[in-house]
Amino acid sequence: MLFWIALLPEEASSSPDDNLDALSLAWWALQFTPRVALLDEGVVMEVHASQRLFGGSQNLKRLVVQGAASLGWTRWACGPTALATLARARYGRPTKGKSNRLDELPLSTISAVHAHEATLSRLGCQTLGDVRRLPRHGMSRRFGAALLLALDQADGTKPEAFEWEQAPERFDLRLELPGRVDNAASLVFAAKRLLQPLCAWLAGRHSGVRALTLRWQLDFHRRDVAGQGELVMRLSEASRDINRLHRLLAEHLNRTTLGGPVGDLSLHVDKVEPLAIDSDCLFQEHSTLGLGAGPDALASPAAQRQQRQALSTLLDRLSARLGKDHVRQAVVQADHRIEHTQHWVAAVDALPSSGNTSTIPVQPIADHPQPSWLLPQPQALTLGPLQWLAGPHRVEAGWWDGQNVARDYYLAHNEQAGLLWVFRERHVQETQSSPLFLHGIFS
Amino acid sequence: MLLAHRSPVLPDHIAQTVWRGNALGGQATPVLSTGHAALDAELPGGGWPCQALTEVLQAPGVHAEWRLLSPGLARLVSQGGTVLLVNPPHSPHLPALRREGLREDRLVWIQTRTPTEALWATEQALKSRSVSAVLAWLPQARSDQLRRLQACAMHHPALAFIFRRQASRTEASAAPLRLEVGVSGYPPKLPPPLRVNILKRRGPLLDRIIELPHWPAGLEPLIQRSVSIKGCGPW
Repeated sequence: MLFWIALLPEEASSSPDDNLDALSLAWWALQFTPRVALLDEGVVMEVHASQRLFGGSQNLKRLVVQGAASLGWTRWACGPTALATLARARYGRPTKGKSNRLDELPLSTISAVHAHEATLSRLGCQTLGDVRRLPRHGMSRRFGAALLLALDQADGTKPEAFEWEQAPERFDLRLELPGRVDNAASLVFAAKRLLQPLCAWLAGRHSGVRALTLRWQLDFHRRDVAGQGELVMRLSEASRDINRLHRLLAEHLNRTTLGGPVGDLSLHVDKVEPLAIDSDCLFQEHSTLGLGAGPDALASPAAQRQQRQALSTLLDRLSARLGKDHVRQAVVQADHRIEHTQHWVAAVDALPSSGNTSTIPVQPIADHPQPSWLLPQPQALTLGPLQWLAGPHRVEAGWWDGQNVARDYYLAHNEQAGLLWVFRERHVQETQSSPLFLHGIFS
Repeated sequence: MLLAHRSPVLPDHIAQTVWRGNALGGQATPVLSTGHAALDAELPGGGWPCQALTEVLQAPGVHAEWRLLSPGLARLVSQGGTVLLVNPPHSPHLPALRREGLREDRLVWIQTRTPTEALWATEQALKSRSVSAVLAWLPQARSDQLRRLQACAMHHPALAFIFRRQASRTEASAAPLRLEVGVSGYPPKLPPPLRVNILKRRGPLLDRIIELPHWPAGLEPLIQRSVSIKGCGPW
């Protein structure tokens, strides 16, 4: 038996702009079932085949209804046919008696009946039950076949046919602003209206976004200035959390200048990645983020994932404000030249596998001691007396990439600064010796 | 007569909240072992305090950060924690840190242009509750800014360290634990042990300097050998 859920937007909403449009809600509903259709002003979905996957019809109904309510679609009903379900969702109040009877609903709840409401009410019909009791022959002649068909479909005696909605392959949405906007920070609110459909689209595809582009068209502009601008936003981890995306976009927009009044905004998605959903766990978990506070604080994968999400949110935020290259993570390379043993990259572009490498054992790269602070450029040594402790440790490498070094490294001790890693250049003229350079500090 | 009946022992739930000035304060928040037994013995609760700032003061040119922190941080990292560095004085050298147990993919380096940005980044890191240890070098932080960070740190579940100059030891600070760290001292020793002076803690003033015999991995045998064979003559 089919199981339909009909969703309708909140009635007489105080701020209609906050609600999602029907098409976006249909994209969002695609995460539960592929059989989603637009019907008049509502969205109907047939979830019979998905019940088991989502843990039974009650559980699925709860998921759909709560999710839709958070998007501003608060009116809902469920039933065996799409038209009857939509009619009950429009009626809003629970009906008495058997759930699939429509007899007591008013005429306006089915669109085909609503079209002839004036005539029908003059005939004395107040409810759908009254209409049904009219002679079918006469009704068909008087009102056309569509009315009878709709009633039969609502009752389930004739089959319903729908064109199922499909989410587009690429997300590309344009929004015309109600007025011209001069200030990038003021675009934040308009951008939220683009992010809402984006998150609905991502939810329907079970994905998260890694990179997106916000483009704007200048309303009028000077000849020497480009007529449009764009902002590329990268995330360190795929996400479809609208609050997170919105905050991050606001952070980016606050640092942007538009170059003129903007009348038109569009959002494109550049990179999409599948997003894992949280699976239920067998045992109860620590709900708080007790990081390192106890030895087993991060034992559960869900807690680890939660922490990783919070961390990537933080890194995105820092990268947006401070600049991408000021938030860095490193990759270690095997090289004898100490300045080439690590390579710093922007954390946003760093490998996304930061979470699942924990099983790789930690292996030291070189067996000789290495300083824990490295001076970016070796400095000529200006410190006081040094004590020679170990060395020389000869490094001669790099002839293949033009950054040839030939140095003798020593471990030295200074009374004030502690243990230092200093070197002397080897290739100098015979008559003079190289000065000492400080390259690292054993901290 | 009445007084004799009154018990001098406080009820348990009150006794827990009373801290007597001559005893080392118990730590209401969780602590994390520093990895140095001698230091643990002198810290309230027996380790680095979580949910609080720890201020580390160093003389200019002295760097003892990793020697002091790496044993404790290594344990955090092995549990999957992340370490965030805000404005470190030099570039961290990752192969060396990896030998100490700090994996490079668990380390994030944040370099800011202005001191205000550094404070902002530190505050964000503390508020996000996702970083296991925040290490911030804030030489120009004022005491009111530190107080604000301390208020943020109270909601941060793990460790937070602020590194400042030795000159600011006389300034007021909201951090409940303040340490002065150096490598030089009298009598001079080779290899130089880490000398920690606890300036402020929940407990009586400590009038001696704690020496921590801890050196970077692999360094100690090298130094011992060179000292015993050649002596340590001037260069």
